[in-house]
Amino acid sequence: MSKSSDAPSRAQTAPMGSGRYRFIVFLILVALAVLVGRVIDLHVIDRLFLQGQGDARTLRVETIDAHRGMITGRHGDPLAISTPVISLWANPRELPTDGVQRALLAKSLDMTPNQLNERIEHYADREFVYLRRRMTPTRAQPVLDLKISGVYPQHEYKRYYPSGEVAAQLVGVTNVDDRGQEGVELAFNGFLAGEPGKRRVIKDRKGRLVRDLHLLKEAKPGGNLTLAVDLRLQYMAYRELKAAVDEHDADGGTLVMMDARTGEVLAMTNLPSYNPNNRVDIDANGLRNQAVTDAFEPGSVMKPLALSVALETERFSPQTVIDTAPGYMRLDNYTIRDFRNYKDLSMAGILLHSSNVGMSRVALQLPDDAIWNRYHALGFGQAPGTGFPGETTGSLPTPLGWSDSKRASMSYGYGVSVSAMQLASAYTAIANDGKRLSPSLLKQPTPAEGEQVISPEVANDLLHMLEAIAQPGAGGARAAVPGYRVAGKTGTVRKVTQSGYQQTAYRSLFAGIAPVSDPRIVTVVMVDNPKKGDYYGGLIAAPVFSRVVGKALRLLDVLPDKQEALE
Amino acid sequence: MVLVLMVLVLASALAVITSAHLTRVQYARLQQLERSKDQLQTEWGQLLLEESTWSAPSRIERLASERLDMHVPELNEIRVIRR
Repeated sequence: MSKSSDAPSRAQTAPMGSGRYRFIVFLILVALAVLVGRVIDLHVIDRLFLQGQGDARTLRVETIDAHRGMITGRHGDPLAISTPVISLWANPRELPTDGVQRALLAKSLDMTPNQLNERIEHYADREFVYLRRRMTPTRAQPVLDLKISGVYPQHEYKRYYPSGEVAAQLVGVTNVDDRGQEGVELAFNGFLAGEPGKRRVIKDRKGRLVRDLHLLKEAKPGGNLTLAVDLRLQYMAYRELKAAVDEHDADGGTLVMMDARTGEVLAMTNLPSYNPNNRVDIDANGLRNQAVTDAFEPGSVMKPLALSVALETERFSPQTVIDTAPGYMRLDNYTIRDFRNYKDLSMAGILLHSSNVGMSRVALQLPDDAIWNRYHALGFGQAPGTGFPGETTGSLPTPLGWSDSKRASMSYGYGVSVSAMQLASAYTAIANDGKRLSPSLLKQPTPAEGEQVISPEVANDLLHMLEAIAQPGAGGARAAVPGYRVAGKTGTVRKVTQSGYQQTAYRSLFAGIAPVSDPRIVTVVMVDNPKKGDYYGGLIAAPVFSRVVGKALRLLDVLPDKQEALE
Repeated sequence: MVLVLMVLVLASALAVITSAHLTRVQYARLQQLERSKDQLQTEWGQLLLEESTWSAPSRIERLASERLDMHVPELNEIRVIRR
């Protein structure tokens, strides 16, 4: 109170323009100047630095997840799906130190407190440690509900394979980071993966989203891939093949079923297999899709393909008779043997009895490179071009400087190697009026136009010769399917190892077409090293063909074409 | 004149506040919808998996033969009807 009463008296003693007034005004101006200077300093000179610092504390670029596309079978059944999972991570420095909280956390993570502590101690000087990866949302939520400081969720996707081991090698697997590692997952990774998007956001100190500033890049979810495979056929083929492999104590087996009109691969199964959902004990051998990646010597199943060359020439007709006596022949110091002495055989007879001698006699009357050219046109020695990783080309040695023995052995399927898929593709030429269809793992919107390799008449003749093989009493009798006419060729090959041909290890093969009246499917069955005594293709692989093809034709609603004959 | 301008300024200031508020509300809604989209996507995936488990060919076959007493028709049980 006293001061305010003093003021007027001072004003009187200090008139306008006096030194004190000016001093005050000066001080105010200086203060103003300092303020303006500071404002300029902050807004103009330091602006970049300060803006940067501010942005660094609030602006964040967030990724927008793009989930991986689905892989389905031809009817839309899922073969691989991404489902969201939560990985829990922690910042060890923010974790509570008291034992009760830690024990609670450990319990909710299914760990003992000691395990958890060890883990945290190990990463104590870091700011990031995974507590548990890839938990289902329903299991991770209770942990998050504990609201323990320093525990954060990280949203990820996990790949799940509903069909499990049945289509494991075909579909393949992804790794922890959701990248394709095997099979179709790898082959079409770019298409399936999708591109994560980015957006700029403002976050507060606790990481809560305040504002979405703008989208830097839109998330592009991965595409969905429809394979040609029919899951019902795949399941059935896997089961039948597995039964046969177990029954004969074989090392493995392969089955490929192709649509004889489109070239689509309807079923492709291999043994041994693995469960892609649980990769703890994966056998490395089971990872390969052997139907595509492994080449083997095909043996007798190549005879109809080699014979197609002869039948197109003037010199041979289906009725041409070849003398195969005495059941063996010597060629360049090799001896070619038949099972027994069949004497005179027609073309059909050579196939029916699978005569190596007869086949060799035919082959040697053909131009040097004729059979090689045919094999090449049928796709052997070249990658089938399905895009499947590790696709084998097989081997088809060039014809230069061929000896008689090499030409002969090639005609009955030795000295070349092919994959089961190549073999199935070559057989589509017989089934499809001489037009070979390239195999396709993806469902085709339009039927493929095959490439004319064999003349339609010869293809038709061969189909009927092959039908005779599946008749009662013939070598492939066990391949017969009740109600349907089927055609096919058996094959039995000695396995090759580094030390040469094995005396006691065989591959048992059957390649066939059904139904004969209007071919729908081409199926190749290979059983690797059956060890229970029998090993002939007609005894091991043919019954698998019969069961698989019989069920497949029924599932595909194919009209029985032999019913009347049996009634 | 000045009074009119002041009123206009005040009005536009209030409008800015309102629109900012509306933006926040809509943004919150957008986020919520995105979350529910994610959840629905998850659920769809899980339902798809469930469906494929229940409809696995082996299971259908087993149920058909055990519970419904069905069997694969023998050859002479099949009648082909031609039109």
